[in-house]
Amino acid sequence: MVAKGTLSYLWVLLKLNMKAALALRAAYAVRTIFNIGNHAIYLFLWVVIFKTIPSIGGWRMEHILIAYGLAILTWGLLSFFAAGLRTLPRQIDEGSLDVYLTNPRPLLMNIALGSTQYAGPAEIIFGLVVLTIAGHLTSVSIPLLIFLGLCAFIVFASLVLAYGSLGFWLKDYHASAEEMYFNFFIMATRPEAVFHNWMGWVIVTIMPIAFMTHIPLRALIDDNIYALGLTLFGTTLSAITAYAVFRTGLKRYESGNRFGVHG
Amino acid sequence: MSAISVQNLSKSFRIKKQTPGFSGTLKSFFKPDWQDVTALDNISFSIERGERVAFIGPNGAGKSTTIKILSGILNPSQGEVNVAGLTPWEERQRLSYEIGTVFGQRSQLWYHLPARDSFTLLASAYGLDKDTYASRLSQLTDAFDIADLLDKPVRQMSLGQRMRCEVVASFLHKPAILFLDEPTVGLDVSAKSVIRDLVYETSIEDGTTILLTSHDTGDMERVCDRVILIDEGQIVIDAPVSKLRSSYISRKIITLHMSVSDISFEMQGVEIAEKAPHKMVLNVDTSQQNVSTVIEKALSLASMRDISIEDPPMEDVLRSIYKNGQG
Amino acid sequence: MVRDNPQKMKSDYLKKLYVLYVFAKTSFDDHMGHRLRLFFRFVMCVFFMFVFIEFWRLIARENFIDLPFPVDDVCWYACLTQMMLFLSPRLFISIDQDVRSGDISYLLIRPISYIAMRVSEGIGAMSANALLYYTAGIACVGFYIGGLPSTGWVGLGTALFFLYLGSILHLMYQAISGITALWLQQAEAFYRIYQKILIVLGGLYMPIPLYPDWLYTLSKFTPVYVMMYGPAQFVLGWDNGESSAEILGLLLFWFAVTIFLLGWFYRACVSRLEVNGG
Repeated sequence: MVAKGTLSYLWVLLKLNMKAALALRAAYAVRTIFNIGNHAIYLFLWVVIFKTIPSIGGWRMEHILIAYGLAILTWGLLSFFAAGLRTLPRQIDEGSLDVYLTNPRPLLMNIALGSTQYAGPAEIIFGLVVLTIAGHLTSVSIPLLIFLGLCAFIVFASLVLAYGSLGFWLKDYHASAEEMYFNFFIMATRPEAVFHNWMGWVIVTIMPIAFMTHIPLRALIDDNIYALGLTLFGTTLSAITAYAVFRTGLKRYESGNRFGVHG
Repeated sequence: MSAISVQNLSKSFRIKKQTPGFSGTLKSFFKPDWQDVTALDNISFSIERGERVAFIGPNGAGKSTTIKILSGILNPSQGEVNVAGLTPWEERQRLSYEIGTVFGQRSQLWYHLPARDSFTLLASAYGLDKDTYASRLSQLTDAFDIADLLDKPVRQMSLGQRMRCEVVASFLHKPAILFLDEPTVGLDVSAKSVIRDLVYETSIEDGTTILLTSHDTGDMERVCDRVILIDEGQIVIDAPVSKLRSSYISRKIITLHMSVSDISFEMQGVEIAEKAPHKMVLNVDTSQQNVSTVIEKALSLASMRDISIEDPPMEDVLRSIYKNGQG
Repeated sequence: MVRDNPQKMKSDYLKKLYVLYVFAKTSFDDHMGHRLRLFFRFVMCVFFMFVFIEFWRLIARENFIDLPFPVDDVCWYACLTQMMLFLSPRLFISIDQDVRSGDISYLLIRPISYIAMRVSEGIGAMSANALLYYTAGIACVGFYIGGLPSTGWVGLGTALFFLYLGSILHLMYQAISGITALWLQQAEAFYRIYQKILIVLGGLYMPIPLYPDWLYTLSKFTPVYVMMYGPAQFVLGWDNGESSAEILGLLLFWFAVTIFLLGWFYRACVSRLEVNGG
């Protein structure tokens, strides 16, 4: 009963998000063009790089396209289903969580979808187009790709949640957080071989971007079952860790030390 | 059973002290100074069902902190709290069905969408079925006169209109207890009075328990029957609003409209607060001087067109209470 | 007579300059006050710089191309360009917030130019960053690479000096991005495009002489050239680099153009707000 109520609440939230995006059609359309342009420029950079250097750590253009397609898809999914996670630091600063804390529905759901700002359908489509251009679309790989895309989304959402939750400790952190998310995105599209030695550990532990692109790529291109399991494991672990960081931060919010005396 | 009971509630925060100057900046960079601040110091009170209570006090007195603890947002450092039979910070979700909140500076409405959409969302959040929601909304729409606003994007509303919608949003699920934190802040005089009357009437109709914090004594006088005055984290006064004047005021304001243009008036315990041709306002300390004696003397000096006797404004009453409290 | 008094005009000018200095100083203090945030961001930047170093070491190891400069120099170069992105605060976000909250209409009527105020604040915050990045940051990079660039302290010092100036230019373009929120409801869309141009034409990923010729030439005609590649190339030990006089000249030219652009945007911004009534 409770679960059903929450699901229907989620549905109303999603509808409202769509409606809010449509309410600002013109601005939204311009933004979409800008966002796609922005991704296209970046892809172009890799074309230039691979013109100069044929292969980096075994990665060719095809790898970059898949990694980048996955990353854009992820970014789009996040913008559509959990845009509020990105603004978590600002929501904390503004005390918006107060309103959600007195709402009977799950806090994280309200944070993620309770305030619209971005909308991602265009980016989702662009990501799929890039993945299509990259090839590897077979009857086997399409379901696999959907699965890996979902995992990548969960990993990225977890990263955003975990690093955004630092806003419970750091004041005025919103701008820096956005910078982090952007850099995670960039790092996830770098060839895996770049992260060697201790860096390899960083990208599977405190900054688990490897589970977003690098490891799924092995599953997809090299048909590596082991990599598939690893992706699933990493995704789960990222989600659990991020939630734990968020809960810890929330404790601080509830203690009021975050704000001090306001009267 | 009371709606809210609070026993020995305390709350303290830890904040960083800023030192001025470049060397101060560098020093606090390497070794910041932490300071404990007590926001609430062992306060106790209880509120009966259907009671309307104002929580007032100067900035930083601990008003918002209290309301945040009662609505489950903040954890206290110490003490016991019971709201609608629940411990707020432990049973937050169950509590949310029992309470409504209006935070004057924070909106629960979606900025770019019509208010109706936000109401629909809240109805879904509180699991109201379609019919209940429809009848409740139409009842509140009539009461708050927002029929014209329902389909208007919130960003196009004036602050007063928006606040009416905010209050409707909080009343939607018929909460037993409503917390209002600075509900009239930033509103103009007429918008303020509209909000006050509506909150008052709806709370009578629904039997809602009200706890509101405010800087504005008008909120307290128009909406509440009891006032808790808090200063520096402690309760200074807990009394019926009507009693506040009689117990704490030793002043009356007498306005004289004279037939002559000017008189010279001197008397112990009487101050001339304002002077204009044919008009004089006297501030009388009733502990030193009887009001009737003052009027007799005035009449002996000149004939009067009109005389009025008033209590000083609530603002002044509170100011004098703070002053005595500190002294 | 009095109005044209040069002494008075000069003192008015100095007064305004002083006010801007106070804004910068306040922002500097504020930035230093948030030390956890400062450190956290710094640690991330250092990590990203190390990733760049590994990126180039990998390319050098695989030996597919002949680099015209020593690999350590390219590593230094990449670290400096990455550092440049972290040096300045994300100014466009503060302006975006002012626009969206409507505060901008109050800020615009102040006697001091709103944009000059925000840019000064940006410079203050950037200086706080520079204090940390130019000392501890450079030390980390030097340690990880295992030595100075082949141009030595002089090359490194020149690069850092010009990066600081280039970052001020970057702040001004951030200000322009921020103002676009008046038309787009959100500054981020425009900023991202600008940022990508900075990344590609500024040469974040690789020194632009490695690009195809036409792209290299295109880059030379943009302001991002003097924000990133121009300053950072002083650590590349090769003969074809630009002299500091050339970079300084280009910087001054772009400052003039950008200040003119900013003024134009500022006026457009004011008239737009007048139309909307705030």
